[in-house]
Amino acid sequence: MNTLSALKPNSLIVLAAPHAAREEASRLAVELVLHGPLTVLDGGNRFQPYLITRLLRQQHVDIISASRRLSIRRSFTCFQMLALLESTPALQQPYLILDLLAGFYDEQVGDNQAHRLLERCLEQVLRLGQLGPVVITLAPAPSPERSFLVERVCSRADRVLTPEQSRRQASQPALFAR
Amino acid sequence: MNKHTGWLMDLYPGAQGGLSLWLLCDGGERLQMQMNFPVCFYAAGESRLLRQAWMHLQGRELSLARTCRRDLFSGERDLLAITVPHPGELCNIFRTLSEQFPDLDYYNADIPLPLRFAAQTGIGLLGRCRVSRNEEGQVTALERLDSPWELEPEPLPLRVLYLSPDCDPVVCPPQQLQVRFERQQFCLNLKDPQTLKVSLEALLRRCDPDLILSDYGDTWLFGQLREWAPGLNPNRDPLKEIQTRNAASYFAYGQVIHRGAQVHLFGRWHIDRCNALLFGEYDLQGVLEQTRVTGLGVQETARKSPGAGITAMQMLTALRTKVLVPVVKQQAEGRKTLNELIRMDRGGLIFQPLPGLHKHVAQIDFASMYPSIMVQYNISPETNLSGAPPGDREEEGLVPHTLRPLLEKRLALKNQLQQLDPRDCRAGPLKARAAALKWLLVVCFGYLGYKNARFGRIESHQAVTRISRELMLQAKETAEDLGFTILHMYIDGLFVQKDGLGKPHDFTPLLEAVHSQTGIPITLEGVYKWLVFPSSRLDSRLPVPNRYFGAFLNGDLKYRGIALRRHDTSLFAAETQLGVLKILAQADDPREKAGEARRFAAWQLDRLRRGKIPLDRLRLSLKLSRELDAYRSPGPAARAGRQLEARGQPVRPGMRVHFWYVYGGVKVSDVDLKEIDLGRYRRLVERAVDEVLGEWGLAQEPVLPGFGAVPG
Amino acid sequence: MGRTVTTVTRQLQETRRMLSGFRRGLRRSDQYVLDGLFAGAQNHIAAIGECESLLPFEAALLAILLEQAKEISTLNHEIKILRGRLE
Repeated sequence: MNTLSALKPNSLIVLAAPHAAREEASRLAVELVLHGPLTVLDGGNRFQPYLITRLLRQQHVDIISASRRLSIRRSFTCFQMLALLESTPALQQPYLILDLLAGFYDEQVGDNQAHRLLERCLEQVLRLGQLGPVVITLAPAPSPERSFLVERVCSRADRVLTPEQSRRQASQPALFAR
Repeated sequence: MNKHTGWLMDLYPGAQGGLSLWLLCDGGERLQMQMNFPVCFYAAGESRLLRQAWMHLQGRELSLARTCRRDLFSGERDLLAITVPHPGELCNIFRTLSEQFPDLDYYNADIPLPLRFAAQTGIGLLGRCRVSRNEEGQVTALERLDSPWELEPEPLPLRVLYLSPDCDPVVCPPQQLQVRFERQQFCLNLKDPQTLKVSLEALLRRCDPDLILSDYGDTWLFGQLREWAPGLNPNRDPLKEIQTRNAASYFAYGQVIHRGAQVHLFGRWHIDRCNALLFGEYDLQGVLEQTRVTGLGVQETARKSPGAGITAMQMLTALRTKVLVPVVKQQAEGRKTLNELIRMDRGGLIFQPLPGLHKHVAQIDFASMYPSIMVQYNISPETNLSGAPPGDREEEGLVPHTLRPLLEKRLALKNQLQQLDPRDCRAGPLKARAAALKWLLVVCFGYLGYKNARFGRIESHQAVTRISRELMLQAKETAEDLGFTILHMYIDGLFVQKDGLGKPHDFTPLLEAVHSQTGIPITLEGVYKWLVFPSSRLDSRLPVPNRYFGAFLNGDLKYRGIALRRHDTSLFAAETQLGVLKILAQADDPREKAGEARRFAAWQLDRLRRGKIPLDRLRLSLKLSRELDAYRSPGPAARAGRQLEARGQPVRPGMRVHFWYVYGGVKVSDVDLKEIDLGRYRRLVERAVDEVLGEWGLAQEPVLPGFGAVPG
Repeated sequence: MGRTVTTVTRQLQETRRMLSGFRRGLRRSDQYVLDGLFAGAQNHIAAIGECESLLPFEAALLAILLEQAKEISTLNHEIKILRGRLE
């Protein structure tokens, strides 16, 4: 997956992969935070703080300053994910939403409710995306009955990247048109 | 007008509307009464949607009003208050409304009825009260006569009927039902359903039990009775039918938990000891104590985790202080930088042990450390998130307000217990009650951070662990200032040692100094004449936290993290390990008794070889951590699960499966002693023995013939 | 709610895993010594945690040094005693 090259202002990129592209997302977070502030919204406990600090160290940068540029907020249910998105201000910076659907895969949440909440979440994602690029990572649905959620998110994306796609060398495009 | 005094036993939506109450009267009568009891829930959200909801509900037998109440997280909210005249109808009305208006926020819609009753009348289940009723049996007045926080509540004169099959129904089909009531004990034959039905009906009529305490009642007995004796109604309320709840598997406390199907009765209680989560920990007395303080029904309390009890207590506080109880928690975590997350998202302090044998060690524990912190530092989602000591004028938050009386009662019971002779007949029930309260306190901290906890907040959770780490470091520094060596610290307890100190009173100055420094009471768990911290089996240079065994000055043993404490150890291996420890505990230096302990272990293994160990001592019990299909290379538990499934038994994650190791695999039933894989059991026992005898250097030489150190 | 930040113990395990190639390239006797170094760090997970470092392995290295310094100090002490006996 080469996410970085696909990132453009006002774009919505979806990374769909096992474990919600956990490693890939960490590497992307590092690339992004090297260039400016980044907000990570974690819906499935996928954020790996120490991996990120280690990757930052490999870049030979001041990791204390770099890690201060990275903000993180977490949610643990689909209701909390909606609350998280609704209370996140839209800023001119990238947003990385990890495992957006984790809370929606909960068996206790009915299909209708999951669908309704997801629509509201996607509205918020579009709001955030007005000023900066948004990358969403998704884990596969645990059952075929819930795969409609993945399809719904992918249908709203400008680009969907999956592990099958070639892993080209990352090149760094400009994130914001200034 | 009739007046009655007694204990409130049960309450539920009446079959003909209103509320049905059961009073266990002082005179011995079990009285059913009815009461009008309208209940209210709230909706909040956009005015447009609220107006539509109002229109939707108009014309029904409901009372609608506008009101304003406080949401703990978002402050005052304008609400649509919906009052339902019959409590039994609330569930349906709420479901229909929330389906129609899913974007509204709902409050107070799923509060257990006994909690609403307790909030409104001040009388909780098992509370003593005086009830006035009219000729129609309708309650006209209620008066509370005691409080759940009384240290010595009057004991309920309960009539208990014990029912249990003659064997575990999973292992073989039971032939008889063993019955016990007061001093009578007899068996009912299960072969003739008609006779069984008549006998049970007569039994229920004659004994009129308040509680049916069964083994496998939830998962076997009542299901079978429906087939064998279709017309039998074991409820005391003849208008009610048995309430069954489906089995469920869920993830909690870091593991998959399976709860079997449940059978609840009305007017009397049914508890299945085999399906009651912590019944083994605190018995019926503990269940009754939890019911008193949480307000949940007895049948609920027995089966649910203590977390449900804590939630109930918080709901009750919320109802009493007019704080809204959200149906779903919607708050998300606040923003943190990466640095802040790494600093805050941490657990309790673990200071690794110094492996090996130590003499004259004191174990000192902070009393209910986490709940004490929550109360003392006023940690609640709406109050102190920073963890700084609260100011004098700060209003007590909902969580500490709920916990304070619980904490005080538990400490008071513990003090009472310490003053009682262990042989005193009051000691047992008191211990059970203290244990039941302890479990509520144990889970209250975890609930602060539980994703679905209505009044949980991750920042509050983190503040508690942050304070706990600081207090542990303060305790360490205080002890070191007084010349103690710290052998191990684990979350809320310290193991300390100082040359020349070996009697309990020697440690009093340390306890006082730590208490004075930290502000949290700290108690002496005991002084060990010797204590061993085993090192890792993989590398003897590696310490293992919270794994130890030792003997107190009076010879009592304490052990953590060894085979005896693990659920996956057969009774035989556990008994052998305990036997070895008991021999070691006789000496001031366990090395003096190592030879005798080895001989005991060899004798046990010899009994195993000669087939003298009963099969029930060899049975293993393992938990299924996932669906059977999800096991890539099935271990013994999965193989046992598959055998059960092949026999038509429902198998779910979190379920415990019982089996024996036999030649060629495992077997869940119909096992013969000749099939038992003795070599495998021998290895398990050797390992358990090595775990306690393999310390202090003896592992290098064979402890038993063919019994060396377990290779790393 | 699950923890996001892994424990120091897990972190050390992770570092060991990353160094597994280095370990393989060592003689068996040196591997044993390397494992001992990590065991030394393991003794101080509380201290490493309290350090709140963005890179816990840096603090772990200090813990390893601390254990070595303790060992040197013990050996010095023993040498002193033995010298005393010889003189």
